[in-house]
Amino acid sequence: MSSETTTAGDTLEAPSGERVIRWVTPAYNEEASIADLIDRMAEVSAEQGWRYEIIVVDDGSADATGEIAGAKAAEYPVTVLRNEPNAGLGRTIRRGLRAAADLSGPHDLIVTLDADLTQDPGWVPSMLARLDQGDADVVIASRYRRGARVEGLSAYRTMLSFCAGALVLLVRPIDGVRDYSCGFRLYRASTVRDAFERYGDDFVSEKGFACMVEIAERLRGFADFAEVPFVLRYDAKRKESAIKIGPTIRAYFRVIARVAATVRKPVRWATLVSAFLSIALGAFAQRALAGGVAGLGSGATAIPTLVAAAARPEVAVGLGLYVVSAVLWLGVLSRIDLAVAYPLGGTGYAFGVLLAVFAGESVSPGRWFGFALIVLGAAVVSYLGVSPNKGALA
Amino acid sequence: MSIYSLVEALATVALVIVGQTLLKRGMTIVGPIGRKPLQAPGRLLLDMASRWELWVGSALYGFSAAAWLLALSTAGPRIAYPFLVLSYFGVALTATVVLRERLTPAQWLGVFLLIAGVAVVTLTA
Repeated sequence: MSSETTTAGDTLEAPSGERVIRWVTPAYNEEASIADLIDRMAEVSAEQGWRYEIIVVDDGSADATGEIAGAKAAEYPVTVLRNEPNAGLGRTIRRGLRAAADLSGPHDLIVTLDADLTQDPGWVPSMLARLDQGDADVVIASRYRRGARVEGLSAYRTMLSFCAGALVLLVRPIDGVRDYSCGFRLYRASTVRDAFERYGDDFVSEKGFACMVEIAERLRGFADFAEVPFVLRYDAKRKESAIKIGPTIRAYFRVIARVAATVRKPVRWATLVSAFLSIALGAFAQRALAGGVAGLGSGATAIPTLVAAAARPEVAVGLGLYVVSAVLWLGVLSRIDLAVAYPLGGTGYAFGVLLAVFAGESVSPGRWFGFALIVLGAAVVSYLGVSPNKGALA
Repeated sequence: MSIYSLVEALATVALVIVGQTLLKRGMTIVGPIGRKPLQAPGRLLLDMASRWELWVGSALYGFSAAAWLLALSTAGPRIAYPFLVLSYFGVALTATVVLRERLTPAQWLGVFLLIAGVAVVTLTA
């Protein structure tokens, strides 16, 4: 259970037409940083002339984070929510997003950022400028855009982090996103509200650091993403990093697998069976045809060769199987993408290897290797797809 | 390999690419075939018969089979099969460009694994 301590600062009377920017920062044992962060958020907001509110979600800190943040309410519009006990980054960010979305009008915006000063609020104006170009609902401050840098992280950890990101992108690309896991983001409040309406608390169900990947995945279907570069300042951190890279990468993939399973339109069994039946019949047909044309010579002219071929029974059987195979194929094409379905036809050759085994022919190790490549390739092509970016959740 | 069989093999690949793309386009317009459309087979056949893409696609499919037969008989399977492999890549690429389908980078890797596998299996036959 969590208890809530709300400290209202200046009351916000949002005049019509003027949007409010809500800063949401999850904080766990950040007493060394939280006061400076709040000052900085207020400073940037004032410079830009924004109407703003700061929501600090104190995740059951054992130190004075909550008290320090609460005291800032005397100076700025600060609200402190407190989880008791500690509930993890995922629950914390979810609570902050929900609170901000509930307070927001249709044109309001929500910024999320870490409380440890590694993500400077001074980047938000450039994120906002990008959002105001009108083609994005979420703008991510990205480590992987021209001009971005990471300061104060060892080369080893930078590389690990980069590889984790590249791996995720290889499997689950989202248009406009390179930095899948960075938590420094600007959202249209309406987008966040839509996501809560759609998913409820499942919008962010991951407890740990992987919640950022989960949020991106959940928004895949109905939000447009864009990125701007920023400088991630690990050197500004005032306490040791708590992130363990190995478990975090594993969590990324757990999240992707889980979200993908709920979001993806499953391929029906009937479709899969039709596809493989069509491919297998095609493979039979080819065997029959290859047998039928064997020994017809080097065919100087096309027509006599075809006529001679058509007279052979193997060829007639082969062509008949082709027709059945083609009819099944039309059914398959009506249900799955051609770019996925057609390469799957290669499994016909793996099927041919199995036929050879059943026919008692010996199969060389090289052929088995080819067989394995085909099966692996087919599995990758069929399972590692994404639903189309637009309308996936419609 | 003679120029003649090279032309046949390349023609097969081109016919397959155009034919499959048209068939997919036609079936996308007809809509997913499932229990409901199959309960009204007359209607379904009429829908399909009214798509020129399916007619032309099927014809090209037939031509590609004929071209394939010729290539097999003139060049022999050892030379003809590797060309068939080209068609996997060609169809996937055309589908992403013309039909706006999406393959993830991992899926492209899968396509190349499949192609490599088919090449190995057919060349070690």
